[in-house]
Amino acid sequence: MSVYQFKLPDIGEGISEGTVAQWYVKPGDVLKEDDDLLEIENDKSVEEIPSPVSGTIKKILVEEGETAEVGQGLVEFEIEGDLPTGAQAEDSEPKEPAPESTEQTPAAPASTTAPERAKEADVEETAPKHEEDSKEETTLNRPERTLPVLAMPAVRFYARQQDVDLRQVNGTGKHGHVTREDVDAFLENGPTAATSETAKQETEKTVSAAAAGDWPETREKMSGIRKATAKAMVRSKSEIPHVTVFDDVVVDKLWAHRKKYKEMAANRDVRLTFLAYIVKALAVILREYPIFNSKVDMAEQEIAYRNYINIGVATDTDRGLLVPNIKHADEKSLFTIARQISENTQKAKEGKLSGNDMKHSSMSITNIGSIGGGFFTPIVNWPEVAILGVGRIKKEPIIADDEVKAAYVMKLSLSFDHRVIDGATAQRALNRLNELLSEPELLLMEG
Amino acid sequence: MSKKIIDFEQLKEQCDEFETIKLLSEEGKIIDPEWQPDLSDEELIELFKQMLWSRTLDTRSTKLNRQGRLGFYAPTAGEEASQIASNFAMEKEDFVLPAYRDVPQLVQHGLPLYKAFLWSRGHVDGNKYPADFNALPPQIIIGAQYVQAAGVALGFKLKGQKNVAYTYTGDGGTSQGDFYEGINFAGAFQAPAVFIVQNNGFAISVPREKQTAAKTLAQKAVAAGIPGVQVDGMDALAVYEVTKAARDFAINGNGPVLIETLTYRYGPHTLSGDDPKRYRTKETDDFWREKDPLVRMRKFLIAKDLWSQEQEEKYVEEVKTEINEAIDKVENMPQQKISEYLKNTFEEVPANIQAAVEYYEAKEAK
Repeated sequence: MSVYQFKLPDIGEGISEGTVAQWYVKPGDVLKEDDDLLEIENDKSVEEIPSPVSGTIKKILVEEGETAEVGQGLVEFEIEGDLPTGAQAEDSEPKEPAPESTEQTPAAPASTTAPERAKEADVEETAPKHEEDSKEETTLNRPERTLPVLAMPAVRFYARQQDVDLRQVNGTGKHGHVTREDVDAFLENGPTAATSETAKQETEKTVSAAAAGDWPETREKMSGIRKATAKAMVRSKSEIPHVTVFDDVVVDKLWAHRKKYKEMAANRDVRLTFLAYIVKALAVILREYPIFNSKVDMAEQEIAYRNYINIGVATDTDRGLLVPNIKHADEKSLFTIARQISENTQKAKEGKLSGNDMKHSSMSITNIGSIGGGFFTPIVNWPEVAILGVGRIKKEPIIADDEVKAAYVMKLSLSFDHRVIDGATAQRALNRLNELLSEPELLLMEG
Repeated sequence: MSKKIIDFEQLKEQCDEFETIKLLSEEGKIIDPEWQPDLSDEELIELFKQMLWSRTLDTRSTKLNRQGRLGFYAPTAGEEASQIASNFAMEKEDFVLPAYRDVPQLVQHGLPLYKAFLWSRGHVDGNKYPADFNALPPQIIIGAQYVQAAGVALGFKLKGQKNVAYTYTGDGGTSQGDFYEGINFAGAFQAPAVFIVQNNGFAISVPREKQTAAKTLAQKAVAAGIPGVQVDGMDALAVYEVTKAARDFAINGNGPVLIETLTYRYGPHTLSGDDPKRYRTKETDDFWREKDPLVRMRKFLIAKDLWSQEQEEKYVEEVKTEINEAIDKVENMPQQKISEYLKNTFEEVPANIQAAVEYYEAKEAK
């Protein structure tokens, strides 16, 4: 028995990474060579990848929705006998960026990238310099010249859309290719953000390596979810012109309604939360205001309306923020919605959400109310066009019939994509939401 | 108002005379009762087996590519009649100049399968052919072997050898300058070449209608003064018949022939990343699947009691074993070394390349 690691192959010329769209297997599954293994999505297409070996799935290394680079391990198999000698043998050695770039220009091997230079320098410090080395340096140096920026057409298109001059972006991809992430990093932080290979190398170093001087800092690698979150947030913030509208909702009746049915729900193993009511109410809004259930296709200059209503619920976990959604929320009862929210939360915490649980969301809700807080400006979960932020519910003085009285008040913050949703439309939708939540019985009529 | 001397609109129509030759119907029946294939039962079976071999190889190669075990691959499913039946009409001493999709013909012409896999994996040895194997490695550059095909054919003529040079390109290839130069040169010297244009409707994603104003690709032969013919590229018997006739015509000193086969690839252009769903409709796919060359030929053979499901299953297993052996062999061979690759390029090595060779040899020795 031996362990075989399957690495992401270059399934399209010049592809540097791919996102795991779907796993057809789970740990413990026994499969034969050529059986369906997973689906990879990249810039160009979605590809099914069959298993290269027969064996038992030991461990999945890259979860659905996460992105892997070409050459990165995706899954581990336990296989009979020895490893197949040739299968992906080219990746059996640790991958260094330097030798690859030299391979491209065989006549000038000294034109190494930064990390290898740094490595060579290390060697030089500890050992006397070899004569051979110095000969290489002198005979094989490549003259400096300005080269055109390397970037895939999809990245060039993206950069044009974002009005980014690629020449100003530092490429971190193969042979200095500018990747979409580089463009995003540039958008976020300007020219200094794009890290050179050297800087990248540094981030991989541990505390002691990075620590220097009086003000030491500790570095850690971003987790997959953190990377994905960072990428998604930058993309959303840089692409979508956000506007947020706020409103107070008097929820005395909702408070009473929930109180009345909470116990009955508990008897049915349902945790009836305010969030469930909000999902229910939002489903009505999406039906009445379909623009909130759309996505923007700037390339085609089109607005795509979804013909279904799935409501995302941002879920805080130890591993990071995940947004599973309630499928067909408009067709489900309050109890069913409440039950599914609990199930999704449980799955999120256990890391058991599938790509499908998170895909095809219409619009999302982010609820910080259970922790506290009031109004805030949530970031739209791209490619959605709006997000509803829910603050805490607390007793506040309100004026009713010219008299001040105490009432339960909920804080709502609605961020929307101003490219497709106008301020007036957003406010009308928020007014309607206000109405539905302050008169929960309406949900019975309209939900 | 004087008399009108010329009518350009009418002149545009003058090339509409090309009929598509089709001999076997979609139901596997011979269409013209006065015609019978000039092939023995054994040859008919062999022709079908080669097509089945090609389809099986295509399925497996696609998977091997997705697993990272093969490199470049251009899918062939759908084009079996066009590829295999044309090659079937040729002789061992004929010289084939294939394009990137024409690996099946190359292997059927005599290239060991493992060499084709080495080529796909970018290994130099995949391009090293025995001296008596009459072929060039597949040409990746579009239409860039057409001129050479004319040259090889002229060579046969000068040597007085009764053989042809045959070459393939796609519909897109006929828009290249090399294509016109090649057919013109071969025509001018009456060289025994057979130029096969496999028109699968798309130059990667560009539909055939957008590539040229010509109504057929066969008519491009007219300007070169050579015969051009259009054939149903999903009909193995028609492709064989036409190619065989073209070969006979060429070796008898009558000059080259251009054959346009109307065919279709079911898969993407290559596995390097084009998504055919973005440029073809399901209706188009279905339309061509109805014409599948294997289905047609299988029906024909079963009706003649020459083929059965059991034979098919058994043969496919044999092919799978053959493929497994070839890929095993390749995977157990030493990896391509950069130094070897560099050494392969020059007979007399320039100083800078020599320096690079030494650099890499030192590195590889570690």
